[in-house]
Amino acid sequence: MAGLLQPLFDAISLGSIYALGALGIALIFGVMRLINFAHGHYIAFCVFALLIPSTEVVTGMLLGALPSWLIVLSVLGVGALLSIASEVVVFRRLRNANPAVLMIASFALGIVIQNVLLVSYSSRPKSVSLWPELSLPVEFFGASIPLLQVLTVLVTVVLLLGLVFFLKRTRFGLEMRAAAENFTMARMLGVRANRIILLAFGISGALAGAIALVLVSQTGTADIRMGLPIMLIAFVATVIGGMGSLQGAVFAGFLLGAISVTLQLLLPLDIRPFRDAFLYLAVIACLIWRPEGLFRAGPSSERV
Amino acid sequence: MSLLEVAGLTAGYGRTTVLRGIELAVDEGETLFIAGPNGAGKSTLLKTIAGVVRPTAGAIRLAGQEIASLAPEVIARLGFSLVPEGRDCFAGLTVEENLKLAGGLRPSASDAAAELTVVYDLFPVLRERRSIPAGLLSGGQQQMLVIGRALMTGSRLVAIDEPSLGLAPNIVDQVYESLALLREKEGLSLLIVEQSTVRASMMGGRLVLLRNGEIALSGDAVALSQGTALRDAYFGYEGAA
Ligand SMILES: Nc1ncnc2c1ncn2[C@@H]1O[C@H](COP(=O)(O)OP(=O)(O)OP(=O)(O)O)[C@@H](O)[C@H]1O
Ligand SMILES: [Mg+2]
Repeated sequence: MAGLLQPLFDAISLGSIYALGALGIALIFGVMRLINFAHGHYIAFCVFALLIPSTEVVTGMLLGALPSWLIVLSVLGVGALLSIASEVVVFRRLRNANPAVLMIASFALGIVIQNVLLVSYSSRPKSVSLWPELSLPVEFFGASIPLLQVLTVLVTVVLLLGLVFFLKRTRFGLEMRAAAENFTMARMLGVRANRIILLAFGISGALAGAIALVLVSQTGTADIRMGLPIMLIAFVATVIGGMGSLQGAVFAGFLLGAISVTLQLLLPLDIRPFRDAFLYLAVIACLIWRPEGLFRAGPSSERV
Repeated sequence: MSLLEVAGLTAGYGRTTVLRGIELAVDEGETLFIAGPNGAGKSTLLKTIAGVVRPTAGAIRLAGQEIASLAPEVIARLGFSLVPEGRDCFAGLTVEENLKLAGGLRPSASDAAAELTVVYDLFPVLRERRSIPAGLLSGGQQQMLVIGRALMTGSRLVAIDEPSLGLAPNIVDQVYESLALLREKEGLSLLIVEQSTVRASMMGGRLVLLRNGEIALSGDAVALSQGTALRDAYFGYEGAA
């Protein structure tokens, strides 16, 4: 039993990161029909915001020097602001462009963000020791689990519950769900398009900030490419979750986390480096089985 | 001054012009039917008024205010409510959430709550099913929901695109009964699009016939339905009568 607890926590905490990433992408897709490939770069940007810009290998802390609670708030804030800025500066001007144009714009934006980081911090990974005490293990039913994993799961649960409350119980949440389902109709009922889109970008960016905090305390490094693998899997999660379905995105995020960890555990040692190939194989199988995703947004668009 | 005035309106999609020089007006409390064959531009006309399709020329005035280039949410806030073709309820939202969403246009929450009771009294089946997803309603119930939703906005002018589309005749009767009731009791101005002129001659009001993006004929619905002029115009016989 205790032996299974560790992989279980691995799966849930990895799944948490994927789920938060997928949620960030699905929120924007819902209101804009935009797959924001810059999302992974938001994560990297948030990580680097902890550090003072410098191309040296070692650099001091910027936001990372603040008290812990302010680190959390400011990193979430940086993510939200960056995301909102990309809407105002880039995506808003392309509101009526077709989805392919939007997607290409998001690639371009991602490259711009990456190059800003490259110029300010160089391409060499930097070590960041943020909250080293979190790697201490805690006893949990006889297994010792790193505190960070427990916290990751808790934080994800809190964020998800908060989001559910926001979406189900608040006026803005109602408007956002309506806008995700049929944006034009929502506007014809007086929903202010720009406000809802800004809000979605803000939340999405803050989620990128949360992922950044988890990642950096997990790995202890800042690397300008660190958001990309997460972004890729999170994107896949939104696809198999059913584009635009928030529950689907979260569920698929956790599912991919679980499959990853299971493969890691079961694959023979010499095949293990190719784990992700097997993961994507599973994804392809899933898409062949259900091309529209596991969940559709809402109880289906099968209108009468 | 009419509640809605459309003058010299030209609109379309990209380079194709669909509407050419449309002139019409709806007075306070009046019902105007817009009829015409497939592809005449009826839906385009309503979408242009609602701000979803951009006009290329002409004027649209709502209660005297020019709305021709405003955003859909702004036009909705000025008091124009459109029930689009195919109903477009939010399938994933509950019946009550659909209604409450539209209630956001009301000045206060208590005002919206009071109107919710009015809508539920008008369509008791909606009250019964208020907590199920709107996508699970039958077509007729969805039509009632979207009409109720338009009422929730508090607009004085409600436009409905083909309320009879895909519904059984007895359900269509019910829908029109409730529309007639709203016209009588609330003094609502209605702009109703139908392919046929049958409902217009039954319910009464003014009728505009749209063909190929132009107004082919207009007049009193009941009077027009007596002669052959309407039928001729509908099918495009030039010079007949
Ligand atoms: N989104 C669109 N993009 C391009 N052309 C369109 C679009 N919607 C409609 N059209 C074209 O505009 C013309 C008018 O269409 P519209 O839907 O307004 O007709 P309608 O009178 O409502 O017809 P129906 O009775 O079939 O609903 C048609 O020729 C149609 O092909
Ligand atoms: Mg139509």
